[in-house]
Amino acid sequence: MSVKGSTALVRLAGNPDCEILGAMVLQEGSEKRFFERVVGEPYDREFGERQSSKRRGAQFERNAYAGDGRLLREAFAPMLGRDADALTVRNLIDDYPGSKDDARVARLRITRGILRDSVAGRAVPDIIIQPQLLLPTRPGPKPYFFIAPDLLVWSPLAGTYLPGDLKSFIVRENEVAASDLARVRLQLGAQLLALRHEYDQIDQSIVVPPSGMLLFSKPNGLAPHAPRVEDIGGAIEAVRIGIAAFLRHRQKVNDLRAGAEPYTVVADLEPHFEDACLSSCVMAKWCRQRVAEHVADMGDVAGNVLGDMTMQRLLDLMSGSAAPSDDHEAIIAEQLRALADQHDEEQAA
Amino acid sequence: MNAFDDTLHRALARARRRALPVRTSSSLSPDPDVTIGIATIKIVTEEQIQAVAFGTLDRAPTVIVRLDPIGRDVSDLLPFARFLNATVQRSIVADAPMRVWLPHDVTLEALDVLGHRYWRNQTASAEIVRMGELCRVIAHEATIPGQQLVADATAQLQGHVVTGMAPIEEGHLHAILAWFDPAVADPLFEARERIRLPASGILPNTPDHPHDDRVDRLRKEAKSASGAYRQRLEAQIDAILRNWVQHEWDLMVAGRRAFLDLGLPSAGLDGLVKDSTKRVAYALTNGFFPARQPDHLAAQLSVMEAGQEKADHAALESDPLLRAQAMRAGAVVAGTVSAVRQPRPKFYPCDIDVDSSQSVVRLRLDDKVSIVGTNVTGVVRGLDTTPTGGTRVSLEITGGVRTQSVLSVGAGVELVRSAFAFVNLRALGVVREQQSWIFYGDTAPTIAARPSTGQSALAIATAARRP
Repeated sequence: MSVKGSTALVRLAGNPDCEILGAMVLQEGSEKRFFERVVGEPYDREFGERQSSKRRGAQFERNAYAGDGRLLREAFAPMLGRDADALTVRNLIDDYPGSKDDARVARLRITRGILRDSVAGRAVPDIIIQPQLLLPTRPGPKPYFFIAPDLLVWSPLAGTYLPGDLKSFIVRENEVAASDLARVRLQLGAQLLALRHEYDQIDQSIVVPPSGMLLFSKPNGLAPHAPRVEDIGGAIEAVRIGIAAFLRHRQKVNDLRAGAEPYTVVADLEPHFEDACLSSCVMAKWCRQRVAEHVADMGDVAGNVLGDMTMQRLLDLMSGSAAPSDDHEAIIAEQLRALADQHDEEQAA
Repeated sequence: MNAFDDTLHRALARARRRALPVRTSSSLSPDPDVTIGIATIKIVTEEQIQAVAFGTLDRAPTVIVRLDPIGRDVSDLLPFARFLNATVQRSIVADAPMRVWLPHDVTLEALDVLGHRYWRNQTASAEIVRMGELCRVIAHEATIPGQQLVADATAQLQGHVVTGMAPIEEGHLHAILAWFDPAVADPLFEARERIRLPASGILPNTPDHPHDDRVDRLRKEAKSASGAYRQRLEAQIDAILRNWVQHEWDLMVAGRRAFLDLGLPSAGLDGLVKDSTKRVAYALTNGFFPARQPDHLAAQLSVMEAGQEKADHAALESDPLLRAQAMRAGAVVAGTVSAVRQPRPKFYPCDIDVDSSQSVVRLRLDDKVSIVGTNVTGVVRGLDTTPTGGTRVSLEITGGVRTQSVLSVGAGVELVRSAFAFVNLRALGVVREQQSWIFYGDTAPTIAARPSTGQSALAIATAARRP
């Protein structure tokens, strides 16, 4: 998974206590390269998005944007209470294609212009494709995050634009997998914060409601399903926490590195290993070594239940070679011995 | 199992270097005569099946490899469609239950997507459409707790054993199996090595096994190739997919074997088997109709809730280990009959008191309960504290009044709340007829205020309670 743009903020929101993640966000280059420089050996696991996923995602977007966003207009028309042919679309990729910073800055200028026009009551497109926003984190290195929603959709109800994202996940009976939804909600949260920042620059009295729109795929082909409007109040708060964590981690990394590259100070940073890291972070195996001898190696729940206890201590309590130091340990020892006896009996039987 | 018990089991499993059973009974009935297995390899995100292995579990599977899984032509799936149709037909003709083993829930998801794609596809052949419908029936039944149609090998092992890994790692079937293999000296190390390659119905794509990218590239090349060269490319795709779908199949078979070798009795599941068989038989015969109207959705949720209640009850009834855990949480009450008030032996009315040393119990007034291991049922009519700080539960006996062995002072009993497994279809029918606003509307109707009776809500509720 990437550590750039809104994905970085999504990951920080998911594990705000991880200083290693903070260093990864600050480091130039890929996450895999970060691992290789820290650990000193090649990364031997799967990394990055698969070709098939990239292809499907790109095709889904191409289909949606084709013909002046015909499929998009058809999908949003019932929600906006307008005729699809009456909806106007502007695709900023037509103006400035590419993902280089120059193109992003150019798209940001256009996006800001459209937002200003909308506040002034001038004619604006109903749907903006590939707008560009940013979230400032200045002063300091990495003084901003480029945030690029797939869409901004004019909401007559809110009187503002709302962010929207296209995902080629398949909708079945109006539902998508909960695990798919959790991440994209956080993405919308980061996009909405960036949008609020832009509106705030124009007029501080404008209120952008905590909503975002998601457009998933129908099971057949690559046509958009009816959009979902998501309440993203919780996601916005989580991303705020993620940004605050980034500012903290950046301060610490900067204090330690004295001009050197962020990866050089990793040994002095505090990881915060969680079960979820195993499926989302290249550094998971490395961070896990810090809890290898502790009960937290058996998962988040074990860490919460037994705290910072070592595996050896647990085994000593079970065998009776260590005396419990408090009531909690006494209960653990008693229960473990009872369990052991019970399983020994079952096996003997 | 609560978090504390789960953690201690994990610690013990790690110390013993083997998987430990956490149940003494099975949640799955024995495999019926009509039992099949299905394993798939899909394209990530596309959710298109690119290889499928299927068949009965006592022989090598039939394998279909799809060279162009994204194409509109699905005639390559016909052998699978015919097999599925024939299996279902066998079950319908024999009026017998059916079982589908899968390696994990990703396969179920792949079948569900397959179902969504073809069950109403007007351009597909009738056999493919029927396959789509059957896939939807299978996937829908799997959502109902206590169902007995789908056996997910990973979920079965997760539900009945604990290993020394983190729970998230137990989603990997190959990793769990390391804890069952006596030849594996260090299952923790071995399991974590195995996790490097996926066991989730997709091709691996690691630096040393870049099969997904390779198949993707081969397909691209094959599209523009012809003749013998194209055949060579297709043979390479075939070999990779065949190998990995066979791997998925083998994991499923090994998972099933590990589960069966636990030797857990499957008592008390007759009701669940009956319910599941009835639901599936109806859908197979009459077709699949997803719930989309509010009243249908409410009925479906009720069916799920009833399934959960029945499954939980069956597990508690037949599994002393689960009962012991439930006792610590107060959900099961163990005690001794301290009083029996029955004017005529073996006849109603009959009330009993059960004294338990448990100070925390989850039973509440009017709860329906049963006495474990008997046909005696009752309703909780009183809850008091005993002089020793335990709990006295007073019951009105409503069933099994002739079972004198437990309806006697001094008899040891375990009380468990009965499953509330009632789907009120009649009420939901009325809802549909009247288009009740609470189901179909957005706003509540305005109700004119009436003068207060002066009674508190609590007093009204108390008056309504049966004396």
